[in-house]
Parts: sequence; structure tokens; C-alpha cells
Amino acid sequence: MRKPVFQGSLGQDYYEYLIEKLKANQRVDGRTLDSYRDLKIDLNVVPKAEGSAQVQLGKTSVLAGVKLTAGVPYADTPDEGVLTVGLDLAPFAHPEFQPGPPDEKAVGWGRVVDRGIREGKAIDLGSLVIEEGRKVVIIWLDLTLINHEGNAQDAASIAALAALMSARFPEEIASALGRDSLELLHFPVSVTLGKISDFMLVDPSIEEEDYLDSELSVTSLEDGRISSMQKILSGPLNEEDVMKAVILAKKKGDELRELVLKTVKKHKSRANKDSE
Amino acid sequence: MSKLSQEELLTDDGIRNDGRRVDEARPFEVEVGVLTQANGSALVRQGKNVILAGVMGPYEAERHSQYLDRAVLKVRYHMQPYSTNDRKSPTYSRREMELSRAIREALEPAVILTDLPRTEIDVFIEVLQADGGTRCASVNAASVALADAGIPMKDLVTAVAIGKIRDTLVIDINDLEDENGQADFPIAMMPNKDKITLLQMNGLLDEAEIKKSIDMARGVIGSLYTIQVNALKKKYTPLAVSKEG
Amino acid sequence: MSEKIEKVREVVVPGEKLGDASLKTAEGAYKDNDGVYSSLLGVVERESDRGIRIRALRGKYLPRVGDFVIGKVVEVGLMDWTIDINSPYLARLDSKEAGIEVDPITIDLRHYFDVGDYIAAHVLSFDRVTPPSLSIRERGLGKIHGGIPISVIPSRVPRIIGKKGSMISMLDKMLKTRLLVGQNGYIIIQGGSAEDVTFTISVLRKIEEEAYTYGLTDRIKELLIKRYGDKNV
Repeated sequence: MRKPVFQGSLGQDYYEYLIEKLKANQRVDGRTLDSYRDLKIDLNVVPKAEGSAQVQLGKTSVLAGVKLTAGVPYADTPDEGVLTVGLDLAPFAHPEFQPGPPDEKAVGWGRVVDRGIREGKAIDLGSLVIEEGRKVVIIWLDLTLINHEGNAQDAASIAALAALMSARFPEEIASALGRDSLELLHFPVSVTLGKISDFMLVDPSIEEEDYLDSELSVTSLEDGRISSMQKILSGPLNEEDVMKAVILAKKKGDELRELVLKTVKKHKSRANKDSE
Repeated sequence: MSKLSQEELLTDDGIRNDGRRVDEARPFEVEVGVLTQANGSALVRQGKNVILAGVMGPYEAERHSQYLDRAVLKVRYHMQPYSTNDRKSPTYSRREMELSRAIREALEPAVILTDLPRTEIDVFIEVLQADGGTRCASVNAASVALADAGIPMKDLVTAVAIGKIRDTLVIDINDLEDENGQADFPIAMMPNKDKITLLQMNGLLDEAEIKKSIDMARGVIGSLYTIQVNALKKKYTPLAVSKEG
Repeated sequence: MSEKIEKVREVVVPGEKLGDASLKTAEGAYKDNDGVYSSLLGVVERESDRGIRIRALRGKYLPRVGDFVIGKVVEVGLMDWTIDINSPYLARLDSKEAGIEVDPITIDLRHYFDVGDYIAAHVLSFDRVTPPSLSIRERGLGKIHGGIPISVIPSRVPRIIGKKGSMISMLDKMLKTRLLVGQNGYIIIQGGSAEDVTFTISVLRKIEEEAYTYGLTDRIKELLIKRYGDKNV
């Protein structure tokens, strides 16, 4: 639940403290408005999954696991593989999270990841058919928010991309398809911006999230196109805000993407060396 | 899950399918305080098990579930869909419910519940990768997480499963040994009290084997316990270097 | 290279034996048949008169009668307020202990303290079975007007205050902000520019982090002098 901004006898003071810092291009944790927290990506943290990645964005932590199985396609898309994306909030990730089926928040984060990949045509689902109408590759992408310190959205998006990129087909599928990995066509990365008063900042921390008027997540591809956008919270945005966000999301998205690509490349060359 | 014969599980030379000897536990690592929003937490790797435990609380229990003389301990054991060879449905299963209870009852005797009347302590366990003996690894993670949360306890709780392969008792069984072996005998203890707090057995054992299993478990638990203690101390022993030394 | 000598406080875990059964125990330890054991993750303090005591390294605040605490109003009732004091137990402030004679029909307690307001109070009573009760009858207690709240691990508060108040009086003299430090780990930072507040938070975090290390007061003093000069030392 979103806390009211000016609640209580100290709410206004904290808000003014935030604003005073933002005016000087500073955030309460020492960052500038357009800087991300440290990003750490660990691959293959769950070797039993066909692909996995743990992303730490500051102290926010998301784990992505990819299972690749052979199964029956949907009746309306007999010539396509299936992509299923789910996001689970571990109940120890935040005191407000309850165990049980995903709530509005979790579904929202999962959907943005899903749309970024699907609409960006990152995966060629048509290339995942083993036997048309009967047997295709099912991609189960399951995300777990392990620790919530703000901007779970981008951490989830990065973890998803890294896990999909590093996933290897099980032998049965690899021999049927004649290749051993998903071979992504595009590399979607979401960049989330928060708006407080007239200031736009990237990668909001959990302290800042309480004071955001609105939030916009923009998923960009490596070729500069945008594959999904999602505005949340009840504050309105101007056209200039949106365009500024798109430009910043492309720039920041490129930086994040480069790190993901580099990490996966390094991991793959190490894995190849090990198997030689 | 692959079917293995007893000979494949244990060679004539006494070597197990993962290269261990019969009396050798799997690698065991404990990391303390890995979460920031939980009151206490621990990450445990026991063989290929990867288990994360987080403690929320103590906080005032809902009025209808309060006890005036003690705290309520709740445990939820949950497996992530990607944690097993075949994808597991994310919905909470009966097996998870059964294990949650076994783990809770393994921990309860160690927690001094009477120190915190009217409160609730929640232990959330997420299995990130499963490799046989997840309940034991979960107990090991949860008891460290409870200590990390500052919960008063009589002792830590440490657990290991003894198995039987080719009519031989073996220590700390993995997935394949659990599936294809002759017995699975998980045991948890309060190491300083020499008290058993979790005991289940599936399979066939005779009286002598039961006695021997408990003795074997006690030995392993002793060394796993040392690793739990060292992890807690390492996290919190301040490295104060005094210049005037 | 000069050799450094590490002086490290003794950290114990629950179940660890501290001595034989004749040892006198205070908090954080319990007696079993053959000895005295720790019941907490904590640092050992051996006091000759009071016996052995374990100071918790982690965990929430357990109220003690007479403590100065800072609380946040979470609920307003007809005759009392419910207050979050960073404890497993929600505290209660009775309108009488706020010096207000209430006729619930004519007076709405929200006029005094509303949800989200911060108050400074004393712990009046606590026995774990009934909610801890607070009082704001004394001078200087009551609603806190303005400031930046932060929360630290309660067991580290004694270090922020220091032996006989040595740390807090140094902070008061040298920082450009004013501090209200509750024993429960809630701290309000008042006054100063945004920069001063940020610096104050970093100093408090450092004390919290390094609470059980030796030579902390000197290190904090250096930090303060480096920032604001040594006029106020």
C-alpha cells in the first residue's frame, strides 16, 4: 500500500529534505538523479534450472530461473513455442508482503517483464517448434523478488534477460532443434523513472518510492526501439516528461544492456573453456 | 529422476555416486544476514541445496491467535518453481505444508517462546535449489536466521539425514540416494543439549541400525553446528584494530 | 610493517556455555543443570557484581520502565493512542498520561496527536502480558514538531549515547543538527541544512555499524573535526 506523503508531524520535513537535495542534483543515498545503484549479475546460480541469474541492484535482489521443457502448443498458435512469465514475492523480501498468490504489485512487475520480451520479439517463438501442432518448447520464466529495496521492476527485467540469454536446452530439445540455446533476437531492458515534484530520477530507492508522484517504466531494445511502457501511481505526466523519460531510458538501457551482454559473454566463454 | 542400482550408488570400494565416502557429509556453507528487510536471515548451501531463510518479527500477533504466556512460531517452507529437475507449480502443496510443520516442530523446542508472550515470529523458507534433504538444510538455515533476528533460544538446531544404501548406513544423502536408497532418516538436534527435535524415517532399518544412525547423525551434526556458529560469529565479530596496541 | 594488535569483543551464540552453574546471570543468559548458557546472539559483558550479561547484537526493542523513547502514532482510539516503538509490542498512551481529561463524546483525540505523528515519551510500565504504557506528563515530552526520522538497531543506542553521555554530548556540540535519541532506536534529526542532515545520518550509521569496536569515539571525533573544524571540541 502506498503511504500518504505528508502523513504525520514529520512527513513534510522529509519531503522538503528530499527536494532540497534534488535541487542540488543529489539523492538521499548520495547518487545523482540519473545514476543507478551498483548492479551485480550472477549467472547459473541455480544449476538445476536450464538458465538462471541473480541480480542485485543496490540491495534489491531478484532471482530468475528458466525451465525449458517440451510440451503442447496453444491451439491458436500451433506453430509457436510458449513463453510463460511469473513473478513471486518472497515473504521475507518486505514486511508488507504476504505469502500466497501474487498480488497486484507482483503481477504488474511480471507483466512489464513479459511484455518487454514478447512485444520486443526478443525470442523467435516460431523457431521453437519440434513438431507442428503437437510439440513445442515451453519457456517457464519464474522470477522471485528476494529482497525489496526499491525498483524491483528493473532488477526483474535484467534478471529475466540474463537468465534467458544464458539458458541451455536440455539434450532432448537441443538435438530436435539442432541448437543448444534460445538465441535471442533482441535484448529488452526496462528503465524505471520516478517523478517527485518536477524532478525525474532513475532507479528509485525504497525511501524515494514512498514520495513518488508517478513512475514510468520504459523497456528499450538495442536498436533504440521501445517495446513496452507502463506508467503507475496516480500522479499525471506531461508530454515533456514522457519524452525525457524515453531518451533517458534509451541511454540508461544501453548501459545496463552492455553489462548484461558482457556478463553473459564472459560466462559463456568460461563455460566453453570448462567443457573443453 | 533416474533409476540407479544399489551398486551404482555405492561401489565395492565404498565410494558413493557423487564421489563421497559413506561417512562424508556434503559441502556445507552458511551465510548470515543476507537480507535487509527481514529481522534475521541466513543462506545455506548443503550439497546442491540452496536455501534462504528469513525471519519476520517478533511482532504482536493478531488477537485471536495470541497466547498470553508465549509467542507463536510460524514456519512456511516453499519451493521455487525452478528449484527442482521438473518445474514445480508455484502453488503451495500438501508436501510443503507437511514439511513446514516438521521444520516448525524441530525449531520450537529451541526457541524460548515464553520470553515473548503475545507475539508472533514468522520463519519463511524459500528453496532455491533442491537436492535431497531440503528439510534438514531448511532447519539449518532457519535456526541461524532466528539467532540472527535476536530471538532468545536455548540452542541452535542442526540437522542431517542418514540413509541406507546397499545395506550400509551413509551420511547426508543426496537426491539420488534419497530416491533409490533403502532408507531416509532425517534427524535434527540441539547440539549442546543432545536432544532430538526432528525425527522421521522412511524405509527399513533394524534396532541396531537405528542406534547407529543416531550416533552417526550426532557426529555430523557436531561439525555442521561448528560451521553455523562460525558463520554467526564471523558476521558479527567486529574487526576492531586498536592503534595503540 | 608495524604489527597491529586486534582487540575483539567476545561474540556468543544461543546455546553457548558461558561458565558453570555458580555464575551469576543477568540478561541474555539462562541456567541449565550443569552450567550457564547464552540465550542470544550477542557480546559478553562480565560485570563482577551483576554477573554475566549478553548484550544483543540484533533484535527489536524491549521496553524498560523509565526509558526515553520516540514513537509513531499508528491508531487513535476514544481514550488512548496506539504507538509503534520499534518493539514486538505496540505501546499505549492513555489520554490521562497525556494530561488530557477526555469526554469521548466532545473531544476527538486526533486534535492532539494524529496517525503518523511522532511523540517523545517515557515508558511508564511494561510486563509483556499487557501493552507497554507510555507517559508524556514530564516537560519536554509530547509531540515532535519537524525533523528527519531514522531508525537504528536498538541495542546500539547505548553506543550513540556513550559512557555517561560522552558520545551524544560530543555530537551535540559538534554537529549542526540537534538529535533526539530514543532508547528504542528511533532518532529524530532536527535543524541544519540538507547537507548537515546527510552528514549526521552518515555519522549515526557509522556508530551503529561499528558499535562494538574499540576507539570508536576517537574515530567519530576525527570525522567531525574533518567536517566542521575543531572550534567546538
